[in-house]
Amino acid sequence: MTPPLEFALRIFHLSLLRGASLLVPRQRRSEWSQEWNAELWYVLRECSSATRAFRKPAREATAFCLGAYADAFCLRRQLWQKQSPYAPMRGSASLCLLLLSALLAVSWCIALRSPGVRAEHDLSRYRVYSELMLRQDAGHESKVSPTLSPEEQFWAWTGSRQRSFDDVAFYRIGQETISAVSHAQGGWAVVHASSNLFALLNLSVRFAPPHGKVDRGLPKLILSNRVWRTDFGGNPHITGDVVRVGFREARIAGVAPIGSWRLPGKVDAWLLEPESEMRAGETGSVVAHLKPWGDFEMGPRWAISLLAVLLAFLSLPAITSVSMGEYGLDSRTSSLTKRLYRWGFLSAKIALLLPIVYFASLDIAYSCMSSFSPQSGYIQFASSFSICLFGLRWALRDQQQRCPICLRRVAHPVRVGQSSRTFLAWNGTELICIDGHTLLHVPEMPTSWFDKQRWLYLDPSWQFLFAGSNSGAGKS
Amino acid sequence: MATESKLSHTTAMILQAIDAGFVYGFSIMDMTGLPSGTVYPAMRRLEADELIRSRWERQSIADREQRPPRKYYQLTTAGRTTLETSRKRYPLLQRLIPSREAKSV
Repeated sequence: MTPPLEFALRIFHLSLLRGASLLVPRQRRSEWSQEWNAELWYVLRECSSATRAFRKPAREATAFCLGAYADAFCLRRQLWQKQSPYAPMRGSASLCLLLLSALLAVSWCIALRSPGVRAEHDLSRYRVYSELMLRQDAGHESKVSPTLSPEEQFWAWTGSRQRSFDDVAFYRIGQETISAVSHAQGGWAVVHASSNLFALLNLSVRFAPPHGKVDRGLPKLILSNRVWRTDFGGNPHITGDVVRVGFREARIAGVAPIGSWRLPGKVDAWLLEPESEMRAGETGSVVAHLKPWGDFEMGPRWAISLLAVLLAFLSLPAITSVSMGEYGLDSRTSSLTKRLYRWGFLSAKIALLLPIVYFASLDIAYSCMSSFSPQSGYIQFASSFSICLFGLRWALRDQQQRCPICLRRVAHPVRVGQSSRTFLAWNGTELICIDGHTLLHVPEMPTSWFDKQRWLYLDPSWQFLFAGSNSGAGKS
Repeated sequence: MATESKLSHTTAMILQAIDAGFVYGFSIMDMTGLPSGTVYPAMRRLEADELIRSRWERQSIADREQRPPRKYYQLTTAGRTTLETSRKRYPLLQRLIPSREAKSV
């Protein structure tokens, strides 16, 4: 090895150690650096003394230095365990459920604050008919007080290209006197509406004249069933009569059936006027008809997530093993209570995961797209599927590494055996329950005689190793 | 003994190596074939569990031999007891890393 190259490698190895030392708690950093630098010196001396090719010693020294990071993390973890009051909860089932609940709360709060989600929520709140939406100004809780004006919103909506609605209608309710009727109680509640209101609401009209016979010169007046019976005696030939509504004439165009008006306000008649005759300064409500969402017909938001969840469940075996491994025969784990405990924990994780999937996918969809956008449905579907698939994978793998007795995650993984001797000896990873209940064997490579992970139950004779532990092997 | 002692093959092997006279990190790596990322964290845990203790070599000795001082590890009484029990669990341990007594025989 040439001196410049040796120097460069030396600098590289020292910088690796320096980087790892930053992870070590400050009070132990100096001593830790001293030990690792000294050990590196011996490693380099050993490597250079061996008559080997250049690459191998350099690689060995680099691998040695990279191990310093694991050591640094270990010291950091030890410090955390000493300082944290929650350290005993680490890896426990309750902590897992607590974290999932916190995640659920966070995703729910984000969804509540998202303007897109709120807009959709408002949509369902004002959805008075299927695919219809009633708009009022924000802050007006009263559904009967008119709040929108035609020149501000209605005409602007009608004139502009709409992404969400294919038709809009305006209406306001006012008290009017009718010439043909004696008003003992101060006039009728008459809806002044744009001419397309009944068509948009898809309301039927009784005794309506056939098309072509309507007098286009006069606005149409449609009577409610109640006033038709009380004020006009239920006359079936009333259609075509001209009455004066306030200061203008209108022709009676039919009678609305009982219960057909489901929008806010109690109404005696509807006066359908051309949009050009609407007066500026009037305030009322706007009814909009939602445009269908293209080829991919979106159902409710929850249905999109539900479909994605079902697909994720079906896809799960393709990305991870759904086997829980071999639990073996042990009186402590084969009891019904313990099995219920294990399956209950898995079910609780999945039950918490599903609303997280729903709210997180809403968060993602509305962070990328505006309200009512058809693309937001696609994004919600894709994100629901991805989150659910990887969430389920995590839930299963987490379950596979939980002690079947205490449901605490097993720890301290140790590689045992050598890959090159797979056919001669056991080769894989061992993990241990820190409460001393179990030892988990995970094969590195599935073989015909050892293809799944296995649990080894530690009997009371192992208890001496966990003497200070709260729940030793013999106690459970 | 500390409250959360753990035993694994690695732990037992490291304890056996220290008992056999491999008393600093690199020699334990060399003897057991374990990587540095396994040996040193395991020794930290053993030290935290008071199964081993460490001491620095005197600077004067290192200076005389023109090398940096080493950190040496040795078993505590609790560590020796644990090792004895581990040997019963892992009978091949002593054959893998012969202890000083065994070597001298």
